[in-house]
Amino acid sequence: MTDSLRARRLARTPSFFLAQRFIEDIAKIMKRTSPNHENEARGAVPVIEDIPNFVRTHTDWMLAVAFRILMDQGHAEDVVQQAFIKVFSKIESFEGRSELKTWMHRLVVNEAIATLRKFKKSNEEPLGDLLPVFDRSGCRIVFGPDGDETAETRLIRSQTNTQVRSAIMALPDEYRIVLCLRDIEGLTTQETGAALDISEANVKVRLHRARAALKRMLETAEQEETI
Amino acid sequence: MIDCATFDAFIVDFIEGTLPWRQKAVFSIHLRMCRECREYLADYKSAMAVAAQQKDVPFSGMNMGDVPEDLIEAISAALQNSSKT
Repeated sequence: MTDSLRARRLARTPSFFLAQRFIEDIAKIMKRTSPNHENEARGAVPVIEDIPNFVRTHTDWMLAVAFRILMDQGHAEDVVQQAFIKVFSKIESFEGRSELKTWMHRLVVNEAIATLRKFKKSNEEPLGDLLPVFDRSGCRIVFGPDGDETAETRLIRSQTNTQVRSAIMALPDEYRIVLCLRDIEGLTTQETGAALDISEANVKVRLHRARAALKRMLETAEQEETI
Repeated sequence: MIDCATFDAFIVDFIEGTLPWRQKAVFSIHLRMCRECREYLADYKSAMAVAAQQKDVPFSGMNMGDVPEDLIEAISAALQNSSKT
């Protein structure tokens, strides 16, 4: 038997595949990097050596993401735990095409949405006076000070994180969650629709109403403070 | 020509730039002529911007108290146990 024939036969045996997988595993381990350099080495599988430190570093923002979506600390904590387990069990599938934190962020969002589906009831609430108003000819009716050209800058600069968060939290769930997924967590319209099992058109309608209501609430809060 | 109500109905698409070019042109003309919609759009975008800034606020910055220490310990213990098995 020639060497090449022997090699080809060997390549078809189970032991060859096992050996090949072992070599691939070793190669993966060799490619691994330390967590401190996890974002620098694209394409490498990060290895997490100091688990308590890793958990301590990431729990704060992960809990914030889960809480923003669920508005329930208990559920949010469960989501964070599940997300960490997923991070560890799926770390091999992290391809390094994004930063590790971006990849983890998506895991948390997915877990939170799964929990949302389990526990939240659909309760469409009206936004009442918070939506734009038009006269009979379709012209916009303006509230608040007229002709204020600096409204944009004023609005951005004057709102504290607490005021903005309070306003978002005051939105009915149907609108808050869409605003949260689209404008804060950065999902696309398509992803948001799929996550919430609603059409893209519905996502856009809810998103617009949520933004419009948020804008109105922030303006109202600002005017009340000015008075 | 469109009125403010029509502009409002497609404001998400207008901002995302997903309107067909002809519609986009019509909307742009309305925006140029209508000060109310111009100001509304500016404030609307501001609301979007301040909402987006929430992404950088950690749980400990939410006035909800610190991250529970027992949560960190429980997760760490669970992960350490699972990594041993």
